[in-house]
Amino acid sequence: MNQLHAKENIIEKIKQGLNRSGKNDSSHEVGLQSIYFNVNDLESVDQFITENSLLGVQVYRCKNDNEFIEAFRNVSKSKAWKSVVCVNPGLKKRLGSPIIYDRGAMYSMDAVITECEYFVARTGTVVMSSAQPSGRVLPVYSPVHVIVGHENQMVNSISEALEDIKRQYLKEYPSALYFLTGVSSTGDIEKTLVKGVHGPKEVYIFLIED
Amino acid sequence: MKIQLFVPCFVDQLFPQTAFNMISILEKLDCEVVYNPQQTCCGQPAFNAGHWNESKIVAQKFLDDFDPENYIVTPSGSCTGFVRNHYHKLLSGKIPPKDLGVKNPLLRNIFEFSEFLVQKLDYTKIKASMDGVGTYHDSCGALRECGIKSAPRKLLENVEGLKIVETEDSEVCCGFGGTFAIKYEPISTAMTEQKVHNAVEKGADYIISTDLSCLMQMDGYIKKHNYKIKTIHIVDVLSRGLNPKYSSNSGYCVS
Amino acid sequence: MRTIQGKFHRESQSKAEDLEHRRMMNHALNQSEIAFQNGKQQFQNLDKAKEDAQSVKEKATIHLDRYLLEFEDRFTKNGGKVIWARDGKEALEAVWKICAEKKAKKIVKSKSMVTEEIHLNAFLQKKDIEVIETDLGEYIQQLSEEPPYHIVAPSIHKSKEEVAQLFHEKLGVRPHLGPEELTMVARRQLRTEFQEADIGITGVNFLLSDIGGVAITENEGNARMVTAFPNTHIAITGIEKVLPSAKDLELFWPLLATHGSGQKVTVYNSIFTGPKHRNETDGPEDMYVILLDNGRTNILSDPEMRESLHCIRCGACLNVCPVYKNIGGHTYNTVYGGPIGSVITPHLSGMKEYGHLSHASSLCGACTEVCPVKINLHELLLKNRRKSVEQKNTFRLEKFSWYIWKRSMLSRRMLNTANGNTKERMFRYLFKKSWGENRAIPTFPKKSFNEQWKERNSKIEK
Repeated sequence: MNQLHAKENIIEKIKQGLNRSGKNDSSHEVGLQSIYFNVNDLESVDQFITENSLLGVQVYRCKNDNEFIEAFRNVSKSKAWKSVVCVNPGLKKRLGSPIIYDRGAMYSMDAVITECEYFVARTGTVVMSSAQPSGRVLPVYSPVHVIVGHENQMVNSISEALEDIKRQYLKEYPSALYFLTGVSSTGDIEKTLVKGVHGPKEVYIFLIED
Repeated sequence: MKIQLFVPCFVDQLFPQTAFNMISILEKLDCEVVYNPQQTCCGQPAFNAGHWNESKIVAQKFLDDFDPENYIVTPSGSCTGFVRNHYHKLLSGKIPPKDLGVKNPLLRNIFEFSEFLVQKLDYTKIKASMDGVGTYHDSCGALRECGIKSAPRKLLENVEGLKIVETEDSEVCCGFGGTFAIKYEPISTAMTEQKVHNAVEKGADYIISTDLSCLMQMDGYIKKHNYKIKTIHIVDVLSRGLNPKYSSNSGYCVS
Repeated sequence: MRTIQGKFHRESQSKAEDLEHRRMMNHALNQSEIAFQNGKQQFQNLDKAKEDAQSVKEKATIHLDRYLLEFEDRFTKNGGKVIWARDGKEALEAVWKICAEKKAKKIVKSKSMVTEEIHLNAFLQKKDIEVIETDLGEYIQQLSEEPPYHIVAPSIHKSKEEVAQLFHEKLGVRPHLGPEELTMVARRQLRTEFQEADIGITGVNFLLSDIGGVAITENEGNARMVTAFPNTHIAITGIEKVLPSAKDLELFWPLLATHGSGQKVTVYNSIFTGPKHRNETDGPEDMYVILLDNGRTNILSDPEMRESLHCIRCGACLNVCPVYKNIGGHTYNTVYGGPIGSVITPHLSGMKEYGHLSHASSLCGACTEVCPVKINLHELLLKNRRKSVEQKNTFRLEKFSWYIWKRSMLSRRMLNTANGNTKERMFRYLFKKSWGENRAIPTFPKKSFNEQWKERNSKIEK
């Protein structure tokens, strides 16, 4: 199969097809300003929390790192998580505790805890990437996903997040970007909502103010 | 106000009384109603079947049969929508640019009966009365081609003794669709069956609409299966209680 | 090709009369409608969103060559490989070449209508490669050995009891399991498959030309799994999926989610820009994107049909179509069903063979009303009807009937010739069979309005 041939052929057909009239560029003004109900900066954390509560995701707001660690330990204890995997070196150091293991324990883990790139207020989305040490497998394979981040990682919209990623990675985008909103679900069996199909069944988010 | 009456082909053949009732109402509202007896059809059936050449010829006759500067009123949302939205496509012969305005004034001057009454006349002057429970069916032509939703409902609110109930599927197609009702009868019937059942379940005595094609379709099903519910055009509802100029009957769509 | 049409007639009748099917579909589609009304709430101005989306898609389509080349350039710089396929055969050959190179024995797949289009699974199975569908709905359909029933919800027509029975028969689990238990069974089964697979194949929701990326939308997480474990990722896409910029996702992700499943955004929206970087933890070493034409350039070259390429495969038109609701997905006997399927299939697979689908519609316009990118679907069906007539696909009898109709409509005299009784007899004679057993023949009044009006007015004049 001649690859060059196929490519040339397709491009040529496109060009010819478009030459046959009707090629007017629309004068319609595209602009996102008035399309969604906009979130202003002061409301963004509240908006994020509200969205997530509608999605069944618990968000814990913590004043500082110590509060976060205590809150996390409490949740972990109440959920009886015996094995929580964390591969982020910085996070591991902060959490300390003997319940944290490495990647090798992934097949028997109760939960994984990761950081994230951004939070998106309007939709309650968590943005992650393959550039993070947690990679592609761990955050989707785990039955429970715990995310910890700072309020200054909050942006209002998806396009802002994409702009920030573009700047952050200087256009060398990570091989995978993930926009995670809520919990793995399906309605494929008679429209009955079931959670935790392939991805995590439960998600918890810790938002640190400082 | 001078009004040209357009009697769609199937109203002319199957429901002439409705057209007479419409004249009564318009005259009651102080309109001068004129009728060109040469008129026949707007051309939609052939257009919908893909036979645009035949449709075009009949459409051209339609344009000759009416004075473009005066209002045309018709008891059909489907015909109104066709003339208003598709004539320029049919008759220009070219792909129209997105914002082609309505060039021929006739296209701006044709109205379906209920939208005309609410937009152009003081419809509250009509004192109609009809006892019973009615449900309004949004015909696809009226709803989607002409944007008619509230006008008929406003008119029906004013009818003394008539209680209007809404079904969940008022905007769902009745299943007629012209040649579809013949070519794909089982699907067409399945759609009609559900519309009728839902209306009956809501406790309606009447199914009311702006389009007799829909009502005829549903009426055929109703009669065959011996349901008590009746179909009636909104013109026939509103002409109740009028002293008609022409001899009237019960006003049901199938005389 | 009368047999395709004949089969459609028979099956549509059978399905339309099947009351259990009707109940299932009504239930499922009512749920979709409720969700949709909910999802719409996020838009302050949905009409503008749709107009913007239409505009973006128009721009993408009229500069399609440029955006595809840009995509190829960037994606290649990211370390990915682009393969161009003129038709299904070339796409399958490309996949096979990769499989052979990688000595692949097992493939996991996420939901992709394009792979249905090229019959990928059957092809690979003939080559002794195991292909496993991982989207729950597709997995259910694969177990039943049936194609998907709906663009977005493949097993929408199956009751939970049917699925339980299916799992019991095919997987040996206990009978009568509930939806949650059944889902966990599938989850457990498929987890092993993800890890053992040599290659992961996905579709694509949007091709992002400015960053050289593919966007994949899902709720379950199987596409993430399919692109996380296997060492090779192949993404197959129609060439029309292009968006000029990743920023357009701000508009398209919510539109797709709202119209597809009534959500603000779908649970997992992923963007893949290439194979794993050296410093990344995991991911496929190789990533391929196969750009498939397969008749799309034909549609592109017809200015009237071109807008049908804007489709983002949300499935909303199927959800609101009364015909789809009554006949179900399999009756169409095409890859793409519902209104969009009826519009494009004649141009991809032949007007003579599939033109009838454009007639199996009452032209209610609900599809056009709901489409998030404002495709004039029911008008395109009308145009297909016209094209079918122009291509002389009509029976002579039908052509003649319209000729008679035209003559009658041009002549008031001709219309007034017979009286009502005669007309009714004629109607009965011509249409009794096709009018069917379920409708009474309409009663023709003795005289038409025209005749009565003339009589009355001549009396007045006298």
